[in-house]
Amino acid sequence: MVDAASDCRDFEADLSALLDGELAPERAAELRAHVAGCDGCRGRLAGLARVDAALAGAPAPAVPASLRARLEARLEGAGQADTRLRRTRRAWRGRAAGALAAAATGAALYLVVATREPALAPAQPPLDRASVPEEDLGLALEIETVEDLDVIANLELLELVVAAEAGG
Amino acid sequence: MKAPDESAALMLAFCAGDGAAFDALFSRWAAPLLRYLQRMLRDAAGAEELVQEVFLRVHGARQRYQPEARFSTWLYRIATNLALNELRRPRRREPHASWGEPDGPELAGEGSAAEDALDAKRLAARVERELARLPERQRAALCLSAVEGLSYAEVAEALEISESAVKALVHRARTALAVRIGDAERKDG
Repeated sequence: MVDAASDCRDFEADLSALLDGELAPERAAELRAHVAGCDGCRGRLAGLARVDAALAGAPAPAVPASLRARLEARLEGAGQADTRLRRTRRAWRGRAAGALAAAATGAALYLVVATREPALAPAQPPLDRASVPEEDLGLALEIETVEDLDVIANLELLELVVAAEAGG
Repeated sequence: MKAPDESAALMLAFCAGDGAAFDALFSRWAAPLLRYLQRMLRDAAGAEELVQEVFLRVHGARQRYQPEARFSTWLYRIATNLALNELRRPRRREPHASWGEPDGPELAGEGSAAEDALDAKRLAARVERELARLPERQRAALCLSAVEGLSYAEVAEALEISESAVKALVHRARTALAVRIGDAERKDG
């Protein structure tokens, strides 16, 4: 058998949901039947409903006309910033595309040189590493600036010069 | 999926380039949002700033908006996230101690209508003060449910929590307010 106090505890947690119309119809009917016969729960439900009445009774604040004007100004500002951002992005994309194209050209030239080297080798004397500055040998492998790409583009010529010097 | 609500239809019209639809959304929602955000922040100027922020985001969403939830749920989710972020800012100024005090002179007269109005005003002020003392999520859940008319499912979506958590938050908030108001009234005699 369930005593009245534990009945109330069972129902109390659902009193708010009853006010909000969030209970299943059967549960809502059960709760209403309990409340009708229980002074304590009726008082609690009235207290909760009073809170709602006080909250809903407060007048909605008037929206100042200036709020709309400030929003318009911010939307305009945001629009201008957006346009500037789009322009900047376009400019950077243009530069990046140019740099990428240059890098691709350089890489392609390097590949041409690298793949042609074995074919040229029998006709030319081998490179004497000792006679070539170390930084020149490693030049094509480190692309850090756009200027490096010019160097790579002239790599074949540089190698021919080095080879000619080595051959005497 | 449910048919889009009226505000969602306005938003879709705005997405399609109808600027007047954005104006209509502002007219429809600025006041309820301001009420909600004032109660969340307890700071009238800060609430106005956040109303602007909400509409800036609505405006900014025009190219990707999908009416997956009711427009009001989406709007209050934006507002709630902004409010919670604002409340967590470390150097946020505290609300004025008089927040929730009734405005203007008290009603004069001994007639029962005037007394009732005065009682209602006092009660409203007291509820506002006590509401301000609630934990922020309880405050948000109660305001969205009891004042702004969202269902528990919609509040759950706006607060990004479960429906059962919403039910518990709303009940705790409402019970705390009822108890505190009752205590204060007993103290006043």
